[in-house]
Amino acid sequence: MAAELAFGAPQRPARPTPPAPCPDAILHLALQADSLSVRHVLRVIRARLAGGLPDAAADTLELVLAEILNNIVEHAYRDEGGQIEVLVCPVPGALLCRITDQGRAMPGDMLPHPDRPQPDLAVADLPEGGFGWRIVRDLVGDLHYRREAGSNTIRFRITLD
Amino acid sequence: MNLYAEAQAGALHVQVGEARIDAAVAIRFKDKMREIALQPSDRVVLDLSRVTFVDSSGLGAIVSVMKALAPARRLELAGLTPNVAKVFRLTRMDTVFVIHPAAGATTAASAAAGHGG
Repeated sequence: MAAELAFGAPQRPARPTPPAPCPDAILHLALQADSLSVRHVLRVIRARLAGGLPDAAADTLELVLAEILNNIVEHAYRDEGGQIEVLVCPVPGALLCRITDQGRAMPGDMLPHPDRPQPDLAVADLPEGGFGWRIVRDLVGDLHYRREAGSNTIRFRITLD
Repeated sequence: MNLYAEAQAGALHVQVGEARIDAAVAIRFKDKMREIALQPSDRVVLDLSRVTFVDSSGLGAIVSVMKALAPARRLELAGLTPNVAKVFRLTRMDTVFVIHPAAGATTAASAAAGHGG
């Protein structure tokens, strides 16, 4: 079953987000909120951007999207499914990304800001989670979250260099 | 989730035969590793040389396996590809694991030399 939906297909979000702020988006798609669809969409994105992006930027984009999309699958939609919209716009020297879902709001209407684990923790005390937002915060710039009219929107920038 | 286990020079060597350890397979990976680790050995060496992508869920699963083996046994890693090494570095988990440069370099001597505490 194809996990990716062409944007504008019948299953568009119940509350459409405002028109894309960039007319020349290199990527604009909607996907079902489950971990296999996330995996599929990441493969589609890699294939579509192959050759057009430096490898390092493509690796970063894939990892950041994996973290944010899987977070939406598990927490915003609590593995009950839903829809996620991904928009990637090129600007000079960077990619601007916007991810929108209609799941639950982030606790406190804020993105998590986990600390790095202490370097000398005993094995038994090591964290098994909380790595995702640490990775995202290290890899992106201009990270913003907004809850509005039942939608979550996360925006960020990935620098191309 | 394809994992291939083999006893080698006192260590249980586990090759991950998948390109990704991500949110879609993290729980299966953890369960299968725990099952494989029932075989006795002092060290378990996880060969990640075929893995090109690990996300935070995959990383959490690997840490969880290490915690399940401790304190009696150690989980060591080998053959991290650049993209996977980056995830360990960003989260500082590269300071927690003994990481061998290549899957072949996992003798007890090199493990002892690379283990800081």
